[in-house]
Amino acid sequence: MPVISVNSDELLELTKADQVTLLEVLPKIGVEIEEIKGDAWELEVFPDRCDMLSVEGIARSVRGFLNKETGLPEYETFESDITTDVDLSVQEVRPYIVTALIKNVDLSSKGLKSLMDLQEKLHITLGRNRSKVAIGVHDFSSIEPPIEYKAVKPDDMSFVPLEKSVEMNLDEILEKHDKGKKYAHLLEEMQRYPLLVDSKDNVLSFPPIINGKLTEVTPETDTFFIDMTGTDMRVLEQTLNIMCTALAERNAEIHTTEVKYGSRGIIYPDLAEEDMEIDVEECEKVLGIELSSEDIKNLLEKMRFSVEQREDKFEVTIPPYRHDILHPRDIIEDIAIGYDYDNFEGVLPHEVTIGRSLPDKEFREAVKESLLGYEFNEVMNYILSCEKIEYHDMEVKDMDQENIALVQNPVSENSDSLRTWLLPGLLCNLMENKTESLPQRLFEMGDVVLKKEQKTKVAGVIKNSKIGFTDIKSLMDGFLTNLNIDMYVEPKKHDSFTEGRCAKIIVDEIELGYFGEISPKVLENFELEHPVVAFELDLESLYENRR
Amino acid sequence: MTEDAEEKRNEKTGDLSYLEKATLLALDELNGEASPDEILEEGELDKKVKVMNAISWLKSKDMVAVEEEVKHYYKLVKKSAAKKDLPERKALKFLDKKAGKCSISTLKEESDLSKNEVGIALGWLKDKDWAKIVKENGESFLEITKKGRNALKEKGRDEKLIKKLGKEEKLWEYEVDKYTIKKLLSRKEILSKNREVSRTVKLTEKGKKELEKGIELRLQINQLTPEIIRTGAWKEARLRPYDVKAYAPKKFGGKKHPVKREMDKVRRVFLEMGFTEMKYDVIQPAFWNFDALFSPQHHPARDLQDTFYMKEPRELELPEEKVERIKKVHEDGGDTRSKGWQYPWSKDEAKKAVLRTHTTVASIRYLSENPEPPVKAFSVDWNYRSEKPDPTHLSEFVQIEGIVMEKNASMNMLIGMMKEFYLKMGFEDIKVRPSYFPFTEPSLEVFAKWKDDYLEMGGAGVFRREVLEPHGIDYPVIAWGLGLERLVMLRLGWDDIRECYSNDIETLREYPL
Repeated sequence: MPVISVNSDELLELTKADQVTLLEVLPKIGVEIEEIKGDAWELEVFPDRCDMLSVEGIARSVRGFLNKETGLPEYETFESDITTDVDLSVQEVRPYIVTALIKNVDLSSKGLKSLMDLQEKLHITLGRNRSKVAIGVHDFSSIEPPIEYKAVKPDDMSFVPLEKSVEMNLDEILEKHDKGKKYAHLLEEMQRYPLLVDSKDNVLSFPPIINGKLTEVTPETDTFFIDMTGTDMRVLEQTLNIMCTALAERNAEIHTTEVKYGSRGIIYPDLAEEDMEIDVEECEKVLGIELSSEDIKNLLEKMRFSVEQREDKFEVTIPPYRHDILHPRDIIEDIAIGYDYDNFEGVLPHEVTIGRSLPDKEFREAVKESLLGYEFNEVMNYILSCEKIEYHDMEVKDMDQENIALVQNPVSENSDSLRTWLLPGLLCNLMENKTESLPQRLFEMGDVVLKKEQKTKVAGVIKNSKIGFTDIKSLMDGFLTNLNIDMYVEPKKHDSFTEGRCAKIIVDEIELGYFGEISPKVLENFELEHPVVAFELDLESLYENRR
Repeated sequence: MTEDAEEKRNEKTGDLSYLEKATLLALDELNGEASPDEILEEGELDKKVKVMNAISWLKSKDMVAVEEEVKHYYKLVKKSAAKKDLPERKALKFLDKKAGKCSISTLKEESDLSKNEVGIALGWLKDKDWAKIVKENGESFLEITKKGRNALKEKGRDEKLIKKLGKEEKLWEYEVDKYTIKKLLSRKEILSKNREVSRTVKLTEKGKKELEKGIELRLQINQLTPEIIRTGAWKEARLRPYDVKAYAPKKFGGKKHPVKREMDKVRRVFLEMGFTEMKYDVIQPAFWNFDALFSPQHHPARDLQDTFYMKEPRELELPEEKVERIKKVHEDGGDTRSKGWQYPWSKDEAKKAVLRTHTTVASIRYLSENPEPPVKAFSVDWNYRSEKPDPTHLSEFVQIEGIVMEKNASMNMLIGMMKEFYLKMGFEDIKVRPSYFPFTEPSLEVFAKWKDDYLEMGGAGVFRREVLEPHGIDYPVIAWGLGLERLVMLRLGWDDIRECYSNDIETLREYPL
């Protein structure tokens, strides 16, 4: 979840609120206070509200919530004659661009920092680490319009990038510049790279990597040219709106610009508001509280919408920076936030239902109760496992490769597959508890996951200075009697057990599981120095085969 | 326990041991004053060393006083001396055979006296005045005296004493004549003088008081055995009391795993509230895990660095009848009045097999199978996120999930449900704040008061229309979820989430229920 750092004095000033009120209100509008370090407040914003990734954006919402400034914020725009021509060559690499001209910017140090932070957070969130949106902010005074957005061969062009003082060609930037190294993967396998140049062929930007030094923003800058390039035009438009309105909150003037795809020109930023209809009944139904039309209107205005009532419906106008409103329900949530979550008293469900456990729950409890009676301690191991432990360390030679579920992107080699049985995990537990007092009796009841099915097993191990087949056979016989199952055994050959000391349990020709003495080779693999007896049974089969 | 150890214990408790009691009782019988030997004979005691020990413990408790007296006695160096004549007696008898006179050389040659004894005999004959030495023609003769003749009839005092010692072995100083003793002691290897410390044990006032209180003396038993029970020996005996404060190691039995215990508690809470448990496989198509929950295909949560994708199985079958509707909802909102996410939805992306990232996948599958209200269902099961485990994250974790579908379900009912659910889970005070999940709107975060702080516990919300409409569900559904491990950690005071699955035997044995 994105976290932004804001200066509290600035926030207090922009919200015209006092600190106590602010600390109380922020969480109520969905801004969590992560940490307060003096006047630096770390605030967490939900990913659907990228319009609040700046101190200006948060202040705009807070002023509304506190009824200091309600309704739709108005942003005046002015026209400019700046155009950007999009060359067809960018189609394959980074097809879209949006632009804006911002005048009268207040670049006091705080304002500049806030802008840079917003740019950075938008890159990460809506921009998906610059893949969907890369933002360039330029000092307009060095630009000679019109501007051209095109794709060039990597060595066709050289320029001085930010943070450098010498010209570099595009490949050199990708190889040597810090930003180039960081984002080179976004241009991988491309024949041409996108480039933004002015009429003098001076490079404004090499998106999505780095801007040119020529248009670097300084404290003297009073007019910005903003470009945003990317792959999703809708997201570009939303991001541009968020950025422009945030700047306008500091009294900057928004000037529109034109982007031309051949003869088709589009004017940006497009701050035209969208409308959406909600009705009172739906609102009451979703929220479960009674609200008058007046209440709804006031609450929506508090949340910075403008509202027009038409009988029992409302025509709601959505501010241009709200990229998160997809459905009337999203507006209803804002009504709830405006109403204040603390004011919901809560009611309980009205309709009667009968609770039901999973069908074999009681049987599972009986299995557990019986094993606890034998003084086993229950363990709980992860389902994520690995082939090394499951087969290699268990000395299993004929692994059932066909049925093993494998993870494509494991976080470690110890978790590259899903377990198909429980004993390897239990032996790991014994290994990790080598020094604990004897006897050690552990069991687990848990799921194993094969490629095509998931089932539940129950397994146990006993480690003691003296323990053998007869002990585990006695225990199994008693245990199964507890579960109302008659034990009938046949010899079993299992690579993890000592030959001739492993038996399978059979009921109606179905193998329910097996038990025996773990072979010394396996004990050695798990660094165990005492004999271990073990069992593993199929829980569903036990359940179905009880008398 | 040894008697010494028992005594040490009794020093603390002030109790009297069996031996002490027996000694006190014997002394009482002996009128409050006796020697250890008398006590041994009188009391219920079997060995003198035990008596001596008991006396010294009683002395340290001021219940008896011990007086010591040193006495001397005499005994023969060789017992056989009592049966033999002294050398001078042998010489006297020989002299009598030779008619009262013979030369010393004759005595040496003809008598059975050894050369050494001849010297001794001559000295004592003279000392006792039994014979005198006369010289005739340059040769020494022994001639018997009157005393000597008398001595032939009656033995001397010293000889009588030797004989008595032969019978009695030991004679106290006061039983013998000092002069005779002195004479005998001056001779070598006949008598020895010995000393003996004799103790007299007396009851003190404190000892008497203890006796007045009454002492019950019974045989003590340490370990109750089948033999003792069978024979009824315990009736005559007393089971020795132990120091109940003495150290004994803890013993633990079998226990459920703490996370499983918490899972059981959660199940109980849901069942009591009329919920049905749902269970679905951990491997799911992205379709159910993401698409059906209105998570757009470009959502960062679907990246490889957040979600485990399967290599085997790579893809899973989709429920064809739902695919079109989900696609529509993503692309333009379908019939939901939503704008949708406005991108081309890919069926191949939806087929990809993932390890489910949340149990909400169970909720939506269950709802799609049970689209008519009322529905109350829950699950508590494994989920996966591609994260390297650290103190606050696991790649495999258990999530609690609950849903309610009924005609009047609403955000207000969700909040009522949260208050009730968290109360049943042991949190009396909760508050809710706005939150965001792709599949719910409104969404909220639940904070519960634990000790002095409000802790972020879990999320909740009202399912979006985009989620329900494709399944033909026209009723509102409220849903909530929270992490299970967090609850375990709070209850057990753990601060590293990995402890939940470390399966450390000591912890498993000893954690409080």
